[in-house]
Amino acid sequence: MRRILKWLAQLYPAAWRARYGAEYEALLEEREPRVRDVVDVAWGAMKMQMTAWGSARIVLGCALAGVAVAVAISFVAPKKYLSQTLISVETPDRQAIDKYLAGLVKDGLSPEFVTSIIERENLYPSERARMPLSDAVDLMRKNILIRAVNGKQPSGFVVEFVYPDPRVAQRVDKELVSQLMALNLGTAIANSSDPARPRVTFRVDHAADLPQRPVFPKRSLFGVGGLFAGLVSGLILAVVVGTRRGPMVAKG
Amino acid sequence: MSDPSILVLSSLAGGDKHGYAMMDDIERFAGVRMGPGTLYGAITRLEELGWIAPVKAEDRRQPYTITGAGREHLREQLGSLGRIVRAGLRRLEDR
Repeated sequence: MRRILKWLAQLYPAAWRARYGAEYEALLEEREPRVRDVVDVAWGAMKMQMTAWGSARIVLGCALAGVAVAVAISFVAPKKYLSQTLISVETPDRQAIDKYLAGLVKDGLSPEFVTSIIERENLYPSERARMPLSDAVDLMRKNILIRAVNGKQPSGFVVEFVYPDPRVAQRVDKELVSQLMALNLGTAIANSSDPARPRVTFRVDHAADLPQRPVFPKRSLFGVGGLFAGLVSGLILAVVVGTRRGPMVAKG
Repeated sequence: MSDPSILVLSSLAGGDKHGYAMMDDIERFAGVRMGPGTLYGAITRLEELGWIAPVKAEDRRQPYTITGAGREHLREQLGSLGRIVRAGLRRLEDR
């Protein structure tokens, strides 16, 4: 324990050690060491280093530490993969397509249908262990994104699904697309005799692919976030240390 | 009351001491077991402020003494604390 404390005492700034090192070491030798002294000496060394550093070095050090921590977290954070399908829409009434799509999605992605996929694919096993199935359904719906392409008057739409396993993401995306295609076909057959309801045709332009790279975590975004957090922390720390700073005394 | 600076000044107000003696003294009169890092953080700061000063050492253990400015500061701080303590006790007794 005493050797650890002496080693930690080496972490103090060189100027501080030149002034207080010998008497500090004498104190560590004289006193019966305790476990909490390790934390106390380490914390004291860190504070003294901060005091000895200039503000710019504190901010820079914190910024670099922020980037390092954020990038390290990005390596251990659970990955998420996105699979997507592009579907083009053919219809004579382009004005009504937004409303038609919204209705189709509402009917197609009913809680019953989503529940059946969750159970069949055994999705979100750890989440389902601690939450009711209805919450897992909400979670899955958050991971499904159906968005129009080409602005307000879509010539198509994209069906996306995000999941930690790329193969499952692809399989589920295909199931979602099949459901929407089947529902559209059923609607077309039901409306075939009604001229007031023009036929809407879906065509898969780009089938659900097997995602190769995760969409989360993005290391670059984590790095930027860590840099920002580090800079803010460094600025706060520099201000705090600055208010307590005085000149490092010389013996004599 | 566990501000390390006030504890160190209070200890030195009773006579010159080196680090180990200060820790021992503080534990006896305040019941606070100060760590070496905390003690030397306070010593460094107090010396920078001119409130304590090193005196002649006979070995590696460096004794310190409280300066006139240090005494004045300690008197002000303890005076403020005394007023707070008296007011608090009076209010407790009033209820």
